[in-house]
Amino acid sequence: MRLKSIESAVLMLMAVTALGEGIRIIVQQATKLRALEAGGYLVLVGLLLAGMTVLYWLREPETRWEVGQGGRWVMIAILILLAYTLLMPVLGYLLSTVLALVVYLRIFGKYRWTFILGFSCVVSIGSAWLWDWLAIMLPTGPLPWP
Amino acid sequence: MEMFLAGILSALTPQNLLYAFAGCLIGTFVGVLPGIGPVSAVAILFPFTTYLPPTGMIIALAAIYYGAMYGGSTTAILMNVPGEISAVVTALDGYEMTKKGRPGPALAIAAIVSFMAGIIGATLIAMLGPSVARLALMFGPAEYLGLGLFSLTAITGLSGKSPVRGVIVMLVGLLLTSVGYDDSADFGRLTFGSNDLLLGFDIVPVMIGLFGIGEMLRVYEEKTGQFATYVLGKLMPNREELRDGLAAGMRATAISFPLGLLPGMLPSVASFLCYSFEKQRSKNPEKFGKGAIEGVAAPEAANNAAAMANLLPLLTLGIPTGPTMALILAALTVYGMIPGPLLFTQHANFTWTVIGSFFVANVILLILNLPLVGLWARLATIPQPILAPTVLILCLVGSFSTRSSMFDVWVCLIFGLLGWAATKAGWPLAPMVLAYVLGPMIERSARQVFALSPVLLLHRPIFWGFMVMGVLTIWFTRRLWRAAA
Repeated sequence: MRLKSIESAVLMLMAVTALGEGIRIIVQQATKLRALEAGGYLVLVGLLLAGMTVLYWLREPETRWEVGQGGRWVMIAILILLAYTLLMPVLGYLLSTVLALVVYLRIFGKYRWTFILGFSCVVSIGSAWLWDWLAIMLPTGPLPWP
Repeated sequence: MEMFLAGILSALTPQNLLYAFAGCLIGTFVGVLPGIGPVSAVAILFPFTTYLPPTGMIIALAAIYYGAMYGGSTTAILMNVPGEISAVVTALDGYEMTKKGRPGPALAIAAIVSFMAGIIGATLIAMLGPSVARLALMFGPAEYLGLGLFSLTAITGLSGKSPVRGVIVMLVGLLLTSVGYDDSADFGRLTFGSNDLLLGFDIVPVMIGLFGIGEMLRVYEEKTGQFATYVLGKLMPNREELRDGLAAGMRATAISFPLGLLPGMLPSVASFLCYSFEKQRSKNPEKFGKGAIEGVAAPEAANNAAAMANLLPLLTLGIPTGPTMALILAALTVYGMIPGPLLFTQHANFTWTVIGSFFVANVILLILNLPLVGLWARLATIPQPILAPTVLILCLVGSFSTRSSMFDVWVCLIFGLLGWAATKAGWPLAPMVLAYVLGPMIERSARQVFALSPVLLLHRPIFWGFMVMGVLTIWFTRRLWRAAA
């Protein structure tokens, strides 16, 4: 019952947000030419979503959250990804990628340090060269390249 | 006919041949890797193909898609590790043939019938494409609205067991496409004062998150299995296997190509259906699941024929019949190519070159798959701790490359988490993709219709034709799903 309640609450929140935004646009932007259409579309989608959420709540069976034994590993992987995304603008692509790969390989692979450091550096530098060649302007951080 | 031959010749130019070859090679490589299916492969590699010219981009994406399907079958047969959903059916009999010491004939038949189905499918696209595209000349806003709504009926095929969840996910997708600056109204919607949200959610980070990161998180969750050892041995099947395999392949192609034209009819669904059909019509159904050559040939031909058929509504009418086609549609719009009759008139060289490349890619895949099968099988044993973080980093960089914005990286990450969580809770993702691609067209058409007059709809028979087809599609697709289950 709990997961279905949470899902329904989130969906209803989205529906109400869409409805509210649609009505706000229709009222506040009334002088603009396409305000009624732009707001009306949101109102329509919001109403449909609200209706379907009620139908889901009433008719659909209870949601089962099936997480395998690797659920803990998923959480760790997510945390590492989060940290990687936060650090990339600060440390730059090269350093943050080396760090992320080192942590992933150490936690999930249990390899020796020589392999971990070597693999991380090769993949990071190789990929940084590839992105540079493709003119993808990744954050550089304190380093002058890529 | 001249345009078709010109297209083949253009596809054989060194540059286009290189794109097709690279796409097939990378696609097969990615398809062999467990956990990364054709959809994920196209989503992850999509941003990097934007650096190619328009023709090269579509050739590469299509080649990646077909290559990934081939690659998925190789590991399904050799190790019972399907690289993608439609290969699950191939593994039922393919792996049994490997256990009996006949992996070579299984791989050979899979490659041969896939090639045959691909060539027949490409030929049908070349024959039917211009005629279907000419229909779109009669389209105005009402017809495009009907087309968009009809295309959304695809969610019935993509929703799995619960159409209600499919519709909800579709509506969420439509809502997400509304976020951002509304050009025609000249203000932002659902931006909450944020400059980043004013730009809206780009389709690329969303797709990479849902299908790339989400898939890798699922890989982290699953246990890895032990791979059986095998001896590759002789590749070619004997005369009886070749006869039975080709016959099953032809039947599967005949069934799957028309099915693949339907929105929502994924190649994997066609694979399951054709396997069931072969088993039911066989005089010895008990041999299925124990190494029947028809059990390998039918699903392989089915998924290739349906995958080819998926391209016809995309190129002629702009209807993406599934997530991968939605990505290819996004690729077309990157270069301002609008699917429909204009693609066959104003961009005739581009269109016929792409169609010609389908033939070329199928030949390349046949050549790549048979001699290199040993190499592909070894690649499938890359340990997950090495593979997964590499792919994750590729996903984030791919997202960043779309607009050089960290906002897109966060979007990718958040949708990756949502995609993983949604799958765990039994929510389908494909309807969101479909809604994401079709949403702008549907909204634009609906607004044009209501700006002119809603009464206009009463006088547009093509619109009502799409509505009737939509109802029939919902009914038919749900019946097919129940039959496949």
